[in-house]
Amino acid sequence: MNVLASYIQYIVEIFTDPLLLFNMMWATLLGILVGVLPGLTATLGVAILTTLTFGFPAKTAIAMLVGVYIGAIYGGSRTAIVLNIPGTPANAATTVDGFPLARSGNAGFALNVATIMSGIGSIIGAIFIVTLAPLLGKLALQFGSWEFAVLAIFGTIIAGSLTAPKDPLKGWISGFLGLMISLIGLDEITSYPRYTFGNIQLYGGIALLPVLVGVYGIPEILTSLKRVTKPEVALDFSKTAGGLSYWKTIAKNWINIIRSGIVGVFIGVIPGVGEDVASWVSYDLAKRSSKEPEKFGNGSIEGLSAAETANNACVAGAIIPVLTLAVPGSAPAAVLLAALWIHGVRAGPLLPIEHPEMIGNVAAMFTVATLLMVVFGLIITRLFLKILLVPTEILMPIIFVLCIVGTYVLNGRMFDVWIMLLFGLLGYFMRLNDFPAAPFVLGFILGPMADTNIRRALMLSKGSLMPFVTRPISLVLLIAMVLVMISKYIPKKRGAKSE
Amino acid sequence: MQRDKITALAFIGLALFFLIGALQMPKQTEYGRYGAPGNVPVVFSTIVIVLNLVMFLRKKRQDDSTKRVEEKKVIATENKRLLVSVIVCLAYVLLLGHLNFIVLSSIFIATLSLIFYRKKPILIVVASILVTYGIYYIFDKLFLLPLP
Repeated sequence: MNVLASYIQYIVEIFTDPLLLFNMMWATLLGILVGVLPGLTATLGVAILTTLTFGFPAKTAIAMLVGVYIGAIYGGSRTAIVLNIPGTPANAATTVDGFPLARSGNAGFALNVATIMSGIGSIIGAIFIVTLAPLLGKLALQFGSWEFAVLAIFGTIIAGSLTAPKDPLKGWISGFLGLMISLIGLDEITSYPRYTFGNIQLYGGIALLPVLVGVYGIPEILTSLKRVTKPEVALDFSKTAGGLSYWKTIAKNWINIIRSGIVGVFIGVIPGVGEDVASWVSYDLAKRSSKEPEKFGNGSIEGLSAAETANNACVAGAIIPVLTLAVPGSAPAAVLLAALWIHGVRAGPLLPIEHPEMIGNVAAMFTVATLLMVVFGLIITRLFLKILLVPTEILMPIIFVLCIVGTYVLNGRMFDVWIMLLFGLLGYFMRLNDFPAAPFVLGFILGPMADTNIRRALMLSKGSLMPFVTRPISLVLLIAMVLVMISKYIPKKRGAKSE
Repeated sequence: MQRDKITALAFIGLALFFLIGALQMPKQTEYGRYGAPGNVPVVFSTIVIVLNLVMFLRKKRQDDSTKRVEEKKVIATENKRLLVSVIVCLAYVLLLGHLNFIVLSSIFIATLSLIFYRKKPILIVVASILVTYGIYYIFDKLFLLPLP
């Protein structure tokens, strides 16, 4: 089926199925709530909702997860603007200009601009899902074991480089730790139990959800509970839009918006590099090309627009490799990938063959969730901000219970809860020492893919490593990987010499 | 930086554990020696060891560790809060399955909230019970997912 046809058909289906639309509505609202609450990330939101959607039909569940993902990335902008605390890491760049705007009495205008830009970013993203995903899908069909093996390592390294720009070594360590730990459990080729020590619970390996909830949720809960200082709230809606017009803002910023959207999508496509990187890169590009760079950091509409357009466009970008390569573009996309598996949809190169309508359908889910997000954003998120008046000391114990319950219901066993806590401890330790969590999670997800494909490639070539450099796609990925590593290393050496 | 070196040693220890485990795995399989289950763990654990050795051996500028008295006080308070949080959370998880979920979770939420937020105790207790019942209802009754 044509991607565009399935896209349009599913949009009609959503709007003519009240139950599906209702489920998407509450999921998107839940996502916005998750984003509004500092400490709850989009990853955690998607993970918790995954446990709640076990009983739903696959497409309904995926539509809801897309809704919560988009809602959460957008919702994080609310706290970034009024609290100067990004609700999710994706909104860190939003604080730079959003908070000064809010403090100057333009909170309402800043919140609405962020809503509109997030909506535009998501729509740009949906366009790319329809156009880019089928192309990437065709390319993915040419992938053999060599390419998949290199892609897994490439994704982990690039995620490490981009999520730890000050110290990429820590990003790489984090990624390879994830790759290493993912090998626990029955080996997929020989069924040999690796690192199980006779424990039957470990035979199936460590599930992704406890790892994700642990690495992202527990450190945030502990950090929030131990924090003594309280943030300043800038819920100042005293100024009306006045001379500030939304249409004029869009018209004045259209190049910035389109550029940020495209940058967001392409950064999203890179494995493991999430919305936070996309918004910072777009923010930086907007500042460099602005006629008023001095306004950046002091309430620049351009800066706010760039950050918010890019992070929502990045969501679509992150979903594209999930669908076509089964490689997540970001941490929440990784949970989405796990959710697809749970619901019997095997993402990857075979997806267009097994579920030809799925790419178009996901783009349709994306579009509808975006519309819902914009409507909710413009109408009721100010109400959601009231929740910020609830102290974190009360919210975090509730979130802890949700993390425990969400992990337990996965398999109905306490073992997963203990695994989650163990990874929570590791996540907290890593956060304290500035190790990024994203490459660890990506490594954990890509580990089995790397393992089976490296060995399968070696078996096919009878131990020869030559196909890794003689096959064009594999060679390109290898060169890119080496360049990324070298580019991170050389400037540091030069800097050290100059010091 | 001292903390980096300690972290590097901890991760090297973990990777050595994986490496030794991998070396003890069968070398020959029905798929030949290239299909052996220990091949990839050997590679990954070795890379982790090498990367951590680099981190351990590299020279980095020392952080200015002369923290002000107020900062030290804040850190001490934060560490106390962290310790209390961890103890209460662990106690909750240990008791899960032994006590009724609604009772235990209500007590947990109320206790942890009241330890750090010593205002409106009645409201917090009532809210804890309502929230816990809400979680129970959604998971157990609505989605038929068993709770601990």
